[in-house]
Amino acid sequence: MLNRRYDTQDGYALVAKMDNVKNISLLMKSINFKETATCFGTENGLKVTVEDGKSIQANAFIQSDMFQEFSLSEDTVTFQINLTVFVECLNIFGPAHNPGTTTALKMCYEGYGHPLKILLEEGGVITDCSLKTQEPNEIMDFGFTNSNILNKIILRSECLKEVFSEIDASSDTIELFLSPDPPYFRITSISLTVESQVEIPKDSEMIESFQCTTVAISRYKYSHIKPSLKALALSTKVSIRTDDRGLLCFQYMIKTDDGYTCFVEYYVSILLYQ
Amino acid sequence: MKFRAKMIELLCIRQFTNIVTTIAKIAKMCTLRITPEKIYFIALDEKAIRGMPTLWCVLKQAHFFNEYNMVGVSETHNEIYLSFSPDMLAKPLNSLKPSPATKSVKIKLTNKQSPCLTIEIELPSSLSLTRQCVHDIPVSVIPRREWATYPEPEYQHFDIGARLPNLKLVKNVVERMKTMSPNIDISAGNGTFTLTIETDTVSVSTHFKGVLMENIEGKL
Repeated sequence: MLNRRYDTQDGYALVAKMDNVKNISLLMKSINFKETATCFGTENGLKVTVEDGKSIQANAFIQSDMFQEFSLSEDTVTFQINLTVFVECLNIFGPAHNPGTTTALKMCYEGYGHPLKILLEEGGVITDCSLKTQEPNEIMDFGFTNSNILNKIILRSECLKEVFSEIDASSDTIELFLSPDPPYFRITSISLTVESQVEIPKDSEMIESFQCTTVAISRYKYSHIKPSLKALALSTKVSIRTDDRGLLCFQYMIKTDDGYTCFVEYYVSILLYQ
Repeated sequence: MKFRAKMIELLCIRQFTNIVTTIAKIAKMCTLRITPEKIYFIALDEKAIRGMPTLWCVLKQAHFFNEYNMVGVSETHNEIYLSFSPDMLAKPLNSLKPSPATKSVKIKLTNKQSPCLTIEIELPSSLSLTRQCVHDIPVSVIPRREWATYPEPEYQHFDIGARLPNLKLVKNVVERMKTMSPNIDISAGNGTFTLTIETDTVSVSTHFKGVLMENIEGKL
């Protein structure tokens, strides 16, 4: 059925097939802190970007090898969709009720002005969705380049999950302190009444790599960091980078059930720089 | 007029609780009809919440109750009709959920200042003593002359009937669709059962294939 329906691949700007939709549905859910998302298709795969204001941006990368089939008629394809609805469509059959059954996915996009067609199949039941695409908004370019990066830490996600789970929910500011000398890495949460600090030494077994060149103290709004915690929860490793303007970039490495590795990148602009 | 029934089997208690909980979601007021063989939960048009489905639920008493005694209004009309709020019955039954060791649930018709359905729940404790929890649910007894206003709904002539395949999957699909649209289109024919929603942003349709279709006589 899946094959018969949209077999003629000519005429489609993008055709993507995946045997297990769960690989991307969790990923999409984790960046669904805003309703709209912009999708970019290149030969490397699909990038889904979500922004809130000019201060935060999340990018989820789905490599083309996660798809069993991935073809583009042009070099790049760009469209904007309602991510909330997209996530609902991907989860239409609900959580896997029978272990062993998976939902297969096929996505087709004909081109500018056309809807994104989504076909899902589970146990012989077929859902087809036609999701309207919108004029893509311009995506912010934070200009985060390697040459500007001051500090880079790679650590196991459990460590950061624990730190953030203990942070007072009423906190309004998070301060990151990074330094080549002790105390190396310190996360401070500041609220009206409480200020708490967590220090992670560079030889902690949670830290896989620690590259700090200068002392950097930067403050971020907790409400800007909070939306990224969903992606953090799924991840196994996280890289934290800051550049000379204090821009913060989390990169979460997420392993899917089927053994694929995908990444979610999350930029937070600075609140105050000292 | 007397009514007294006792449930012991945990499975029956659970099933009964689920039924009452579902009824509580559908109707604000509901009629309980008690006969020697069966009990009925009835929520018809004007008694149900507007726009909600009407409900006619028949339970065989022998399936649920280990003890069951009832004496109706008279010998010729050996039935009881009560009107009550199913939510009030659902709450005490649901309070049992955390304790799977419930020993028994008794339902009685009592007269405590006003007519009540009394629910007596027997729970074990860590000591040898048992605990007893009593809930009184006010009911009003429906007089004999109004019984005729609760007739069994007649089946209208249906064009088609579909035996739904995998109810859990149908439920999941409907629940997801509910978050996207307030209306859902249902169609069935040629062995396919289809659920469709249409909104400004998306149109979604789910097709269940190989569904058994029947007409109202139950012929496939």
